[in-house]
Amino acid sequence: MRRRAALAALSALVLAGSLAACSKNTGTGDGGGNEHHSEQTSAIATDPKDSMGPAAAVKGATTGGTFHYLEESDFEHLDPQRTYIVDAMAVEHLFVRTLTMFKETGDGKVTLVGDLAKTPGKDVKGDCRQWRFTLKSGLRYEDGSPITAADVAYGVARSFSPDMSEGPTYIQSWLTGSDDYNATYKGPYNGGAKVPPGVTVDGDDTITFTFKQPQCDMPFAASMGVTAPVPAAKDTGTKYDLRPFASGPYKIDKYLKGTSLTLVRNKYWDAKTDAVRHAYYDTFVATFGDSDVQQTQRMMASNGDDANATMYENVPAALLPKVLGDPAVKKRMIQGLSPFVSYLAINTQRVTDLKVRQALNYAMDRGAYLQARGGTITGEPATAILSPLTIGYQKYDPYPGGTHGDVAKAKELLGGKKPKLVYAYRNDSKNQPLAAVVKNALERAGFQIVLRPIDKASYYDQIGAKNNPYDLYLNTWGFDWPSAATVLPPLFNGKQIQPKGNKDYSYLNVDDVNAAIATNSAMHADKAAPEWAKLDKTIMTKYAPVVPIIATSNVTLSGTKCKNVVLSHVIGTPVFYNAYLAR
Amino acid sequence: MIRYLIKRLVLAVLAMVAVSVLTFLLFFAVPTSPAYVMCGKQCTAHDIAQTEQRLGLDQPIVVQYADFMKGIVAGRTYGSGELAVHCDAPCLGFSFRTNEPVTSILARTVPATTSIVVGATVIQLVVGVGLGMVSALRRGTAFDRAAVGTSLVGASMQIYFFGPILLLLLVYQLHVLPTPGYTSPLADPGMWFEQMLLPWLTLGFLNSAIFARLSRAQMLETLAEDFVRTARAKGLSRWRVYARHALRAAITPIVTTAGLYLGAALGGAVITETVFGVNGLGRASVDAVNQLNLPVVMATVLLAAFFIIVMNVVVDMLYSVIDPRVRLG
Repeated sequence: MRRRAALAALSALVLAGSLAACSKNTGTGDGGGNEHHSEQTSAIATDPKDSMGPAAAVKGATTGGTFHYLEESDFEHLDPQRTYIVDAMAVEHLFVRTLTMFKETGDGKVTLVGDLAKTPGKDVKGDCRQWRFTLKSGLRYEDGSPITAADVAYGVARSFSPDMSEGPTYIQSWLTGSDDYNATYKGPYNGGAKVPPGVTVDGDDTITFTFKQPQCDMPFAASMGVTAPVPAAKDTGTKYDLRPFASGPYKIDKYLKGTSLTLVRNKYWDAKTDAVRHAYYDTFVATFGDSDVQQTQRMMASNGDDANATMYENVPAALLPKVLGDPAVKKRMIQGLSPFVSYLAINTQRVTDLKVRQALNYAMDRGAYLQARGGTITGEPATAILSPLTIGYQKYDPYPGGTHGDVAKAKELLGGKKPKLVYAYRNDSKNQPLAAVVKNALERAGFQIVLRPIDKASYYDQIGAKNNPYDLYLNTWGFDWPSAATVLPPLFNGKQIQPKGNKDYSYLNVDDVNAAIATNSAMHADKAAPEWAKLDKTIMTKYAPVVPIIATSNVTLSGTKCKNVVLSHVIGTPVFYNAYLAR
Repeated sequence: MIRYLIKRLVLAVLAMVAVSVLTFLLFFAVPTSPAYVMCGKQCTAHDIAQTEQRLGLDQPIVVQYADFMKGIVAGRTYGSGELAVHCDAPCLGFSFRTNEPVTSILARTVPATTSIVVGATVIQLVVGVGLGMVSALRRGTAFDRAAVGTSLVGASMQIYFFGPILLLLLVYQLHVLPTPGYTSPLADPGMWFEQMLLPWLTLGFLNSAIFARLSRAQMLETLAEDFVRTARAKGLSRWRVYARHALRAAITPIVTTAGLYLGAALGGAVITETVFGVNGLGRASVDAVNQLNLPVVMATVLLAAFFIIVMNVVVDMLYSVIDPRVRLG
């Protein structure tokens, strides 16, 4: 998933990010960003009872009212098959159901449960090549008609369409065994089959996915919008984006694109079938337009309807001292780690000397970087590639130098050399000050840094070209689900390097890393987790292709009457299915 | 008059074609494809190629330009088969990012911008011109000095400073007004008025300063002219001279300024819309530029050009009405 760039509503490829996480996290922290992350080995619910509804009632919750949500610009997509950005994912939880879903109640635990399915999926032969999901009974759409396995298959089929390729492509690629998943089958349109290749439907309630290779992360992947049920008769093609057919506790009442989205109750949703969602408020209204500054001011004043509102944008750095300085407002902060990690990618094709790359790691000033973003409340220093929210995450520091780095150690590694490196950055108001921070930090150790601003729209296009003329550049990545399988393979699998459009921005291509990626990918999530953590460490100590800088945090606010809005460790943004409005 | 209009119309069309060609060329100077910006996180070269093909971005610029122009006249169909989307004439293209005809974006943003701009224009003309005229007639008095002082403050104030302060005070702290935004006046006229009031007053007050100074200067200059003295000497009453003779002569440059202001502002009141969080044309165009959303960029640029050209024609025609010495031909 991606997070939207807060500034100026341009949600270009900014922070590539994603689903999320597992690990003990105290959630709304003390503001210091010092929560403890205890290691978790697996997040998949093994007991089928965990997938059954109704969800345990929230203590003190009251029913009724209108929940308000503020965001600067409208969602890019509401069509579940086309959704990949966290803001829309959080809101779609309210009206779209999927085969599986991450359950988060705010205690820091993340559990994957069956949503439409009775369990988070069955590995039929024990080799991760075939996964079966059996639907619960009593599932209904907003018009009262039953949700069937064929509708789930049809939803997956839609995601193959080249006209709707904005969403995640894991399942499609696994089914066809190719990244060019829609080279032959192009979705259910223009005569295409209603069931995609590799999928079989038995009766009304059973759907089976058969993959070319072992895909042990299928239970996680099935939580994304690709598996949302869509009845073929209700499919309006690309217009479905404006009025998706509801399967969750709410349905769309009114959608004025660019202005507001109103959800009202879907009376056919049965709480007994849902292990995750509560539906405490009657109406949910999202309003678009206000900037982060305006949203923060509205939340601070919390006047009228704003008392029942939650903002999406992060509190801007300029207003953080005011928010933190007022205990009554600080109490309403929704703050905690998000799955996104910012790192400096080193172009290993150009910076070939390992010692230089290690020196860069020692020289980085993470404290100054955080300060430029607004302080320690906006994130915490990172020394590993994986987010602390990843299953199996192991904290380690291969190049210890404290918050501000170890300049002496960096100089020692450079041995008197003064390497001249080109640092490319997105030329916008957020990245300009960060460029200055990076330059100052590295020049302390003797590096000569040449700054190269790049037009913001073409930034990822340019650094994604294999023969790009830059040595260093920032990237922010978040997992699609809290497994390293959605982080290390895209970022370090050298076998995937193409002339253009790469995600492996450090262009690392070494046999042992490539081989480990292949091996780990074929393991069950619980077994793979420690292996991925080990690989993270190997990559950093043996090759140092990146300089991890910070794990970013979410800092938003709720109005005085909004209760139990939980910060998701999976998508790194507030989720609303537990929330209620105080009277 | 008719001949004049036809001539202006032809010139207007030529100007707009020139603007559209320039926008197209500038857009393609950007070294990246919009398909990259649209593509999901797991984008492959194959995805990019398919997107480019679907949107016609793989065609030469000349063909793309011709398709665009054809769409305006005859409409266009995007994609083929079941997923084909038809865009009726005048089709200004299909927004890459939000997957909707550009005309729907305009349909929801233009009313918001028009509401702000027209309301503010009324305030700035009534208040600005009124203040200026009265100060000119009461030159040197305390009223004049107060009006000149206020307008100096207004003219030097910026909306991105004044706006947020008013917001903080009247909306967030005192709760006198609702949060600004746009509600259709057809749906809820009361809400429309209340939400628009703050943008109107802010923009109206700041701009009225300029009009007050302009009209004061114009009026003073006119009052010193011979024909005013002649009229007075012929025994016409003072107010009759001011209202019928002097005002009419003084107002032409004010009409020009007001007309051009209005034309430019209709093209997008970017700062006002951003300050007050109103989703108007200005914000839509800034977003479109940032997202390389060519069809929306084209449409907003053309629309802005259209407003300016139209207001120019309107101003010229008003001239001939106000000042009989002006002949259009």
